[in-house]
Amino acid sequence: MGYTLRKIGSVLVTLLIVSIITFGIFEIIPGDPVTAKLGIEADEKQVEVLIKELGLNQPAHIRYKNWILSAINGDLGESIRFDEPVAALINERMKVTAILAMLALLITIIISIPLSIFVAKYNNKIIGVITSMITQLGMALPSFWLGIMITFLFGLTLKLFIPGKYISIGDNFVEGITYMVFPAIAIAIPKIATIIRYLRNAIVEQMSADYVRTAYGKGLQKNRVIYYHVLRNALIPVITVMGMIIADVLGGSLIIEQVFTIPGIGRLLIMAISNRDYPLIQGMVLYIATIVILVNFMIDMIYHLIDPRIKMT
Amino acid sequence: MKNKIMIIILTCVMAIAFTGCGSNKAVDDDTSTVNQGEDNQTEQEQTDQGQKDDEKEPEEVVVQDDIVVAVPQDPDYLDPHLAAASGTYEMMFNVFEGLLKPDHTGKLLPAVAGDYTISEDGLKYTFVLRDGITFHNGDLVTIEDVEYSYKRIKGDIRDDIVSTAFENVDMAVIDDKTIEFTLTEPNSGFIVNLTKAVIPAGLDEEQHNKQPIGTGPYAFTEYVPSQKVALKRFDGYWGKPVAIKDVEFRIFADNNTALMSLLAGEVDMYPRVGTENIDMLTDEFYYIEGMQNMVQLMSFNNAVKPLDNVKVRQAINYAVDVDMIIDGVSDGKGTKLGSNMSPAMAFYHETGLEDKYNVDIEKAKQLLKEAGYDNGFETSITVPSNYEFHVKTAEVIAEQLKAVGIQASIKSVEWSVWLEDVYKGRDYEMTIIGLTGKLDPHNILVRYESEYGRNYMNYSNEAYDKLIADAIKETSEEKRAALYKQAQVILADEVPAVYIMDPNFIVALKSNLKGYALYPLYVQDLSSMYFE
Repeated sequence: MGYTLRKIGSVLVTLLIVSIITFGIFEIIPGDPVTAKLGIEADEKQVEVLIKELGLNQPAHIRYKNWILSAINGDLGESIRFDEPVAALINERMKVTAILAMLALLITIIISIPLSIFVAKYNNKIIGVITSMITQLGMALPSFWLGIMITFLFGLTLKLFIPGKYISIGDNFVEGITYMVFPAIAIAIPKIATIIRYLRNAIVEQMSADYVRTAYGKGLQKNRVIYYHVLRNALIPVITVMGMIIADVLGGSLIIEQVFTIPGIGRLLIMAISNRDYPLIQGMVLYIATIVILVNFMIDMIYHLIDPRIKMT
Repeated sequence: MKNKIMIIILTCVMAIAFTGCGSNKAVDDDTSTVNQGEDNQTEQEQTDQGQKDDEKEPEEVVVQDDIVVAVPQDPDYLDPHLAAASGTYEMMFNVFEGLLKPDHTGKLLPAVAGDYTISEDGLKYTFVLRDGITFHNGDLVTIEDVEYSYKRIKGDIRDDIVSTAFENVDMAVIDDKTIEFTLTEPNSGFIVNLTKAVIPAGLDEEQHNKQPIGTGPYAFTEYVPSQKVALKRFDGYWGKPVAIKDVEFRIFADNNTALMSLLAGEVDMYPRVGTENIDMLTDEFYYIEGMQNMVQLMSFNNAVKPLDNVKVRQAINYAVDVDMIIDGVSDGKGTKLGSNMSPAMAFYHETGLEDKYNVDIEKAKQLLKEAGYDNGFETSITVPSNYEFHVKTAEVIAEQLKAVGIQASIKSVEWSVWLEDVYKGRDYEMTIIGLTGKLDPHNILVRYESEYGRNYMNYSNEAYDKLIADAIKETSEEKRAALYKQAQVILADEVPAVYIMDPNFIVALKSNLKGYALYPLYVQDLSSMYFE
C-alpha cells in the first residue's frame, strides 16, 4: 500500500515538473500563437484584440497558475489554433496513435522474440556476424526515411496502398488495418533490430550459465532448456529495454504520422508546436508523459512477476 | 538439416526486412512531362499492368465529379472576417464573395452586387444588390446582410474583428436594394475592400467559424483539423454553373507525401509543386506555370549599420547575381524583378528596372570602398527554415557576396520565430522572404512607407511617402499608375531590398483535369475546372 502511494506521489510530481518545463520552454523560445495564427497580413488591431482575448498579456506565472488550476479540474482549455476544446482534440487523435503504436509494438514482439531465439540457438560465427551487421543497420535506419521508402516501394511501385490516403478503422476495419500496417512496420524495424541485439546476447550469455549445464545434465532437451529456463532470465534485461522501446514507439509514431499523413497525436503535436498553440501543447505533453510514466510503472510490476528477486522498493 | 534451412530462410527474412529498397526509378520508364495542355501520346506502352489495348492512354480515363487538392496548411479561421492567412483565402475563395469579386486577370467584377457606381469626386460608392441571389442555406441575400457584413468587418459588431480598411467610411442603406459607402477623402485603394465576404446577418456569431455560409459557387461542408476542408457544389449559385461537385482540400504537412499522393492518383491537383519535382510527373499529369504576382526579395534592415548606408545596399545589389539565382534555385522558372512590383501587375509595373543592377563586382567593390568598407564586413541572412526555396536562395547569395568580401552567415529559423523576431521585432540584418500579391498596388507598396506598422525593413524616405499618399487620393487610374511607377524607381535607386524574382507558380494536374485559371492572387479557383 505504502509502495503504491509513494509511486502515485512520484507520478504526480513528475507530471508537475514536466508541465512546468514545457511551459517554461515555450516562454523562453521566440514565436507566439497570435502571429503564427494570423500570419503576416493580419490587421494590427486584430492582433492586439486576440492577444488580450487569450490572456497572453498577463505575466507567465499567472497564466501557468490559471492553466494548472483548470487542468486539475479536468479542463485543459481551448486550442488557440482550432478554437476547439483540447481534451476533445486529444481524445479523437489518441485513438489513432494508440492503434498505430500497439500495432508497431505487436509487430516488434512477434518478429523479434522468435528471431532472437533462432539466431541465439544456432549460434556460430557466421550467423553472429550477419546478425550483428543486419541489426546494426536496422538500428541505424531512421523511421521517417523507412517510411518514405516503404511508401515508394509498397505504395507507389507495388500499389498495395495509396500514399496520402487514410482510412479510419471505424469506417472499414480491414482497409483501416492495411493502412496502419505499413507505417507500423516503419516504426517497428529499428525496434526489432534493437531487441534482437539485446535478447540474442542475453540468451547466448545465459546458455553458458551453470544452471543450463545442470538442466542439460538432467537430460532436458535443448528447446525445453531455452524456453523454460534461459528465456525467463534472458528477458529481464529486455524488459528494461522494453520500457524505453514503448516510449520510443510512441515517439516514432509521432514522426511516422507526418510521413503517412495519419491524423494522430503526432501530426497534431507538430502542428501545435509550430503554431505555438500553448494549451494544446501543454495538454498533449501532459497526456504523453502520463502514458510513458504509467508504462514504466507497469514495467516495474512485470519485473516483479518475472523475477521475484527484484524487490519492490 | 531442417533447422539449417530455417536459419537460412529467417536470415533472408531479416535481410529483406532491414533493407530499404534500392534505386527506385519512377513507375514508368519513359516519363515525360506534359506542359500546358499539350497532349502527350505514348506510342509504346511501358506499363507493367499491361493487358489494355487502349490506343492512347495506358490507363482508363475516369471522368470524375469530385476533386482532391493538396494544400500545405490548415485554415486559421473559417470565419471569413477573422481569417487572415493566405492559406485560408486560397481555399475559401470558392465559398465567399463580396459585393465584388476578382477575376483571373485581377479585375474586379460585380458579385453580390449586380451593379455599382462611383461618384466623380471618388467619395461615394453606390452598390445595387443582385436580384435573387441566395446564401448557401437558401435564404435570399438582403441589403441588411450586406450592411451587417461590412459593419462587422469595420469593427462595429465584435471586439475581435477590427479593420482599418473601413475607418472614415460611412455606410448607409438607401433602400432594400441599395447601399452607399461615403468616404471623407478619396481613397483609390478602398474598392478592393469590397471583395470581403458578405455573410448572413441572422446567424449566431459563433456559427460563422463553425459552419460558415456564403454565396460562392461552393458551400462549406466540413473541416477536420490537420486533415481536410471539404466543400460541395452550391446548386443555387447565381453565376455560371460549375462542373465539379465535391471538393476536398487535403492538408499535407509533408511535400514528399503530397507528391506521392499525386503520383498515386489520390490527389488530382497539387499547387506549388516544386520545380525539382517536375521531372517526377509521369504522362498521367501535366503542369501549368506562370507568374503569381509574388515578390521574392532579400530585405535589408535599413536601420542597422552598415546596411543603413545606401552605397552598401547598392554594392550588395551589384554583387548578387539574380539570373544565377533564378537558374539555380528555380530552374529558370521565375521572372526577374527590379523593384517590389511583379510584371503580373502589368498596368502598374515600371519596366526596365530589372537590369539596373546586373552583376558588376568591380562596381560593387568601388561602392563599398566609398562607404568605407574596403575589406567588406560580416553580416547575417535570417531565413524561415520551412521555406526551402528561400533557404537555397540565401545559400547562393551568401556565396556570391564572398566575391566582394562580405561574409554573410545564414541563420535558419522556424517560421514562428521569423514572425516574432524579424517581422514583428525587426531584429535582423538581412532576410529572404516572398511577399504574396495583392489586388491593389497601394497594399503592395505601402510596406515601405515610414509610418506603416508592418514596415519591417525600417525603410524611410519622404519623397516615397508623399508619392504613396498622393496616389491613394488620385482618382484617375492612369495618373495613379504613374505615381506608383515613380515610387518603384525610388525603390530601385535606394535598394531597401534586393529584388529577386516572381517565382513561377507551378500547379500539377491530372491529365484530364482542365480549366485551371492562374490568378495574380493566392487562390485556387475551382469554379472553372472540369474533368474531360
